[in-house]
Amino acid sequence: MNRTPLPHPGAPAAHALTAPKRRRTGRVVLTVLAVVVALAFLVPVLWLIASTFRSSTETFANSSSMNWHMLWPAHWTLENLRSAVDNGFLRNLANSVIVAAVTVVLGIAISAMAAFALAVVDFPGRRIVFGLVVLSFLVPFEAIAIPLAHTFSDWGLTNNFPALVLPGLGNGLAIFTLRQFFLGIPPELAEAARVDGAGWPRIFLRIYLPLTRPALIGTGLVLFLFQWQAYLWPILVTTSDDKDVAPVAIAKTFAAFSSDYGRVFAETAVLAVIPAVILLGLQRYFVASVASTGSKN
Amino acid sequence: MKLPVLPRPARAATKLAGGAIAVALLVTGCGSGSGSSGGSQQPAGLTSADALKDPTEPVTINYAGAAYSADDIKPVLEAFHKEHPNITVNYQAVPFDQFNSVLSTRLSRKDTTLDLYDVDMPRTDAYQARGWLTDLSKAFPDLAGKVDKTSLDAATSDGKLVAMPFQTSSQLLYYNKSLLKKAGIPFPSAKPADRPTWEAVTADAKKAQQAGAKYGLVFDQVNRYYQLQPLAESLGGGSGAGGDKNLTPELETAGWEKSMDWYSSLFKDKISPRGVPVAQTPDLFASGQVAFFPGGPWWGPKFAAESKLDFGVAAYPSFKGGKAVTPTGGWSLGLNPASKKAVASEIFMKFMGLDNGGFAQYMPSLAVPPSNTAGTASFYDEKIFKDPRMAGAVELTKYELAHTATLRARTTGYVEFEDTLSKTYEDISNGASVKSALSSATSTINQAWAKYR
Amino acid sequence: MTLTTHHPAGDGAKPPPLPRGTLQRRRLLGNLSAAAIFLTPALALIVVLRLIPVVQAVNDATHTSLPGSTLPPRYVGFDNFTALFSSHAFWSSVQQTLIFNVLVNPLQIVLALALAVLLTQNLPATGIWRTLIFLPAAVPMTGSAVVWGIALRPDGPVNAALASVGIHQQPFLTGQGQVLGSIILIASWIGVGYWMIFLIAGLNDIPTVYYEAAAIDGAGPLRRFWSVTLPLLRRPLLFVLVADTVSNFVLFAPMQILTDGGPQGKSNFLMYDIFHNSFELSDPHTAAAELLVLLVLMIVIVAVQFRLLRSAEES
Repeated sequence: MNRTPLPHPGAPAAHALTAPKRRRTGRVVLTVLAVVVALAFLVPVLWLIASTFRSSTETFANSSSMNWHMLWPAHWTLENLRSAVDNGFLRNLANSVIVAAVTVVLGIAISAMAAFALAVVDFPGRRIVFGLVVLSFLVPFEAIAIPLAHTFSDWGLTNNFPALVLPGLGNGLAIFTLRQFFLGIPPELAEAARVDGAGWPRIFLRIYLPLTRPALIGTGLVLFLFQWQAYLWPILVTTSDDKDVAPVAIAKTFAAFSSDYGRVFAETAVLAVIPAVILLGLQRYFVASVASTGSKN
Repeated sequence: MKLPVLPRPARAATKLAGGAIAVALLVTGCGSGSGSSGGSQQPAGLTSADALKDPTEPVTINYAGAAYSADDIKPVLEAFHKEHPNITVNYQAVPFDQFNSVLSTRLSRKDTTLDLYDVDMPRTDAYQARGWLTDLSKAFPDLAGKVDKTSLDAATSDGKLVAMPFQTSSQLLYYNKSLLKKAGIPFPSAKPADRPTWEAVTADAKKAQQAGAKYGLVFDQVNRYYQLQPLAESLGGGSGAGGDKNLTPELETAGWEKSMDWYSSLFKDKISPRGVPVAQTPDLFASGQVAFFPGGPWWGPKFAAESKLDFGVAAYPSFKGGKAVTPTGGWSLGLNPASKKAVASEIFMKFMGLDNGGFAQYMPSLAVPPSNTAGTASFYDEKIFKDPRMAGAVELTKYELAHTATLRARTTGYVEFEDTLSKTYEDISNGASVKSALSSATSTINQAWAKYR
Repeated sequence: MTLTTHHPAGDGAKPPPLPRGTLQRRRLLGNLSAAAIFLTPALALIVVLRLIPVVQAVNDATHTSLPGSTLPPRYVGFDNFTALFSSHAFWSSVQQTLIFNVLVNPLQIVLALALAVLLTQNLPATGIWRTLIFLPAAVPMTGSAVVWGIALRPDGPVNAALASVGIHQQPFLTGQGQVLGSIILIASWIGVGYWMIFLIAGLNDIPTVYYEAAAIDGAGPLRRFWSVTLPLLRRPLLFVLVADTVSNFVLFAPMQILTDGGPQGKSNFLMYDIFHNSFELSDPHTAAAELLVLLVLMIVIVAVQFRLLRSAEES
């Protein structure tokens, strides 16, 4: 795809109205600002990563004053990662990845279809359906987890894969996101295609999906993070350790008579780094979509 | 604009409808109606312990536990599987904080896929009231003398044995020798007769801090009734619950107020740090920042693993002129009344609690005393007690379990009671006025207990 | 509640007037069946997984039973609500929830918008800065709460940093007066980068043509932001406003891990209390009654937000 330049709310695009020198200073200032803010957000994560590579004793010995050893281990060790691997964390991680991936793929398909119908197709009762969708994401999942777990066990849906995936799929927030972005696409595009004799599925697949790639990624994030952070639900519906997802495995390192903070930090850091890498890989789809530059294909 | 050729709408529609199939499957899933009835039902096939016979066919029993991680308990299960090849125990560790929810999700539905589970001793009455436990009086009629008395009491409800006690507990006072030496404080003796007083420990803790210790005194369980109950008990304040069926909070007594005043001052004077959660306190002692640390013998292995840490143990302190009281209680095994595998479950209960002294002999890396009286001998032979830094721990633990161990309040409303007290201890340590904290705890507990009276 | 549905300027599916009614009817039927096919999977899931449990909650809220008891629950009508409404702790929980949300939502949106604008300025390595700012949202809450718990200890690193510039020790999570602010800090660290991603997606959809036109008219950067960016960002902004509000209303993990609702109930927000009643005290009835109160609160607030943005659209 061709990369269109990003819009500049702060500076005129390609117009030499201001002196180039002043623009350059402005850019340097903004870049420095971006770097400083990003690093400020990063510090707690750096502490987590540093704690992955040192003993928990050292972590706690250096946890109450400001010194650079908080973010840089004095004695490097791979013990925490090794102990995580020995405890089957790789299998838990695989479980998490599979559950999250299936949820994202199915979830995007299901939510995008629903959002399309709510944003583009004119049918009676549209408002009521949309109202239900909004209501559904006002319901905090943790508040209904216990009764829902009872229902799942009545259906024999415990300790299996569908039991873990399903709650992540009925996601009103994902539908709401996409609907908002679909509404931003000029309706004339769909109208023109209708006149050309295209059916709704074709308009959906060929116009709306390609034009809302950043929003689809955002929706993917909503679905992904729901499962990636899922903790209470898996505890309620899985009954064997080999089905545990990563956050549950982390919680289980705290028993009544033992604790292993080093391992907790290592496992948490791994869980944090994976989505970061994925998001970094998706950055190139985050440029302006075709909609904003007119419809030149 | 030109659009590429697409599959015909009809086919696209079938594809789109595919997603609905999963849901349809869901909805048609047949509901196994759970007829709920109260009371204690008995699992079929419950037999007396002497008549137990191993199954001839392979049987798998499911055991949900919160006391030990899967790692901790592995050697116990391996030994059991070797001895009973036809029974497989499928252990599921559950984080302690979620244990109640998981149990209620599975037990109140008469879920037959759960056979055995850990019972936190003070919750025995609450679980019995909920109909979660099985009467084991006929299965194990003669536990008296085989397990220690407090454990047996804790596993008995309404005069019936309703759980198999397997593990009890006690507390010590750990102290950091290097920090005491630096402050010129003599090491406390490990003899039960030389029990230190809280007043003296507080004074020494301050001295140690002046000489460079980061913290003077840090409780292992800063906000838990288990470890803090003895403070009030030592001053004659009682367990905190009394009256009919122990359903009346008794927190506004002189003993509670005085002991909590002392507890509050620890944090006000910065002898103990605010904002450190229970799970992190052992790490503070292990990293050499704490002079005195009241905690369980099970932290011994963790501390002994720190080669640079020089520490010793003394008796759990009491207040000057007050009674010597130590925390105790631990875990029992409960049998789900809906279990379909009573015999195999009984065999495992017997293995955990009775056979050759019970489970503790297979768990040398974890210094948690067994309830089984015969098992205590091999327990005190564990490697950790040979470490010179743990000198005296064996004698102390034996003495405390025999003389000063005091169970937590027994009440059907224990869950709410313990929960409210946790928050109260936290508020007090964060500087709330003791009187108002105890009176608001009283009214919270009164509200919660109204339904049980 | 009334919801904004469409841009008045062009209704995507409104056909131009047709000569014959049959055609129009056929078109309507076509739309209806298309909508049914598109919506069925999502609606089925939403109804089964979210809405039916709410109906169950209504049922739970009007019954009572002993925690975990195997006896069937007793019908008590509105007793659970009367008990709630007469409890001082409940009202203080509602109050804390509202204060928290009034403060945290505008703060997060303003910060997320500022960062989104900053990171759509074509700066070098923008993708990396975006990812780093988003990262906290991906850290499992159990982990990030532990990190913040340590950072904000009265004798922890944050206080050490403050001490180096001459500010004396702050209680943060352990102080009645500061616990709310500390939770806001943690929630914002987690949330701001996440909402920023959606606003970046929205900013990228604004055609550059508008900026060019505004620049030719001689509008300065601030002026362009007010008259071009904000109006054209309305829809993503509505989404972020609503979603952020909801997510802050249902936040409970930091309180569960760090404060247990304390000190003295100052961080005992409604959702934490619901969680605490249902998971820790096994009391589904009180929890369900509280859940319905929370839902009503959220419905009112979200409806107001929809209204606000709708009137902004019409003005």
